[in-house]
Amino acid sequence: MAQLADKKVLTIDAAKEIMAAAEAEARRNNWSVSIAILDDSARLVHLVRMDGAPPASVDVCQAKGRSAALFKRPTKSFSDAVSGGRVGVMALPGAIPIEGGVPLMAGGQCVGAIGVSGVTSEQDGQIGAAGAAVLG
Amino acid sequence: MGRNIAMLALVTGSLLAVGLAAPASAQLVDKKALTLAEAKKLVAAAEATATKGDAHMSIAVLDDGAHLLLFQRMDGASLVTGPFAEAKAKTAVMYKAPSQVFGEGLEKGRTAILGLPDAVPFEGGIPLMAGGQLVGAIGCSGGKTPAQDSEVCKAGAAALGQ
Repeated sequence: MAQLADKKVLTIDAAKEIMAAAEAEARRNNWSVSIAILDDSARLVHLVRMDGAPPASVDVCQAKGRSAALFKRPTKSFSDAVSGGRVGVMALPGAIPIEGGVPLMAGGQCVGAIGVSGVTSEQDGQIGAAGAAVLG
Repeated sequence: MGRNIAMLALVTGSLLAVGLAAPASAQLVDKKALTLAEAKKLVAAAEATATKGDAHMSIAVLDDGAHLLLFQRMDGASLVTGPFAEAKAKTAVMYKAPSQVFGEGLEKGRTAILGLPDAVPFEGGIPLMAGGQLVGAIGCSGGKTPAQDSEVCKAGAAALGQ
């Protein structure tokens, strides 16, 4: 008998809903950002670059999302650690110490992450949180 | 010392004068640029065609600088379709030509194509043209056949300006 576990998986429809909520939050504040939604393996599922967002934000939003998905925690936790003097976290492979990457949690499981880049890191985090809130 | 300072002031003054005297009319041109709204139309059209063809695909739209504007990986698409769709679109932007031309070149024995940077020799990457100008590209991967990648791509590209 195979010892397999059940896990929740992000669908493209769920990703679109999360994206719509994040994009609406950005638009409401008149912010131009790139938003990436990655699955639990940190593989890209959906990406949007809003008009006017800097090209660099495409790579940065994916890096933040990857960090949040692989560590199952917001990138803000790493920026807080660095601010608190624990600069050692910067040596963790793939850890991005800048707010804007938020894990997507469903029923206690991490099903992926959302990464945002283009405005200040706090604002990026606000947009990411609006997206993540869709899964409750 | 005083003479050096005087010289410096003179040189600086001349540089400033040159800077101020430079013609103010920069030679810039206007060109069309893709918007997110337009990219969404393209991806929706491509996605509908993929769904109709029962294919699980990744679809990427890049701007004229080959930077990602919109990306979607459909449920069931293999992971490699993501980077592959983006790579095909990048080929189309960089060479202002469908990635298919490199595949056809290879088939004719022009193996040197393999040495070209950013030239993915598979169909499924199409440049997006508006008014004779390149505005970006669409790339698709994950079709059951290479032809299906092209079909989905073309459906997306056809939505441009519609």
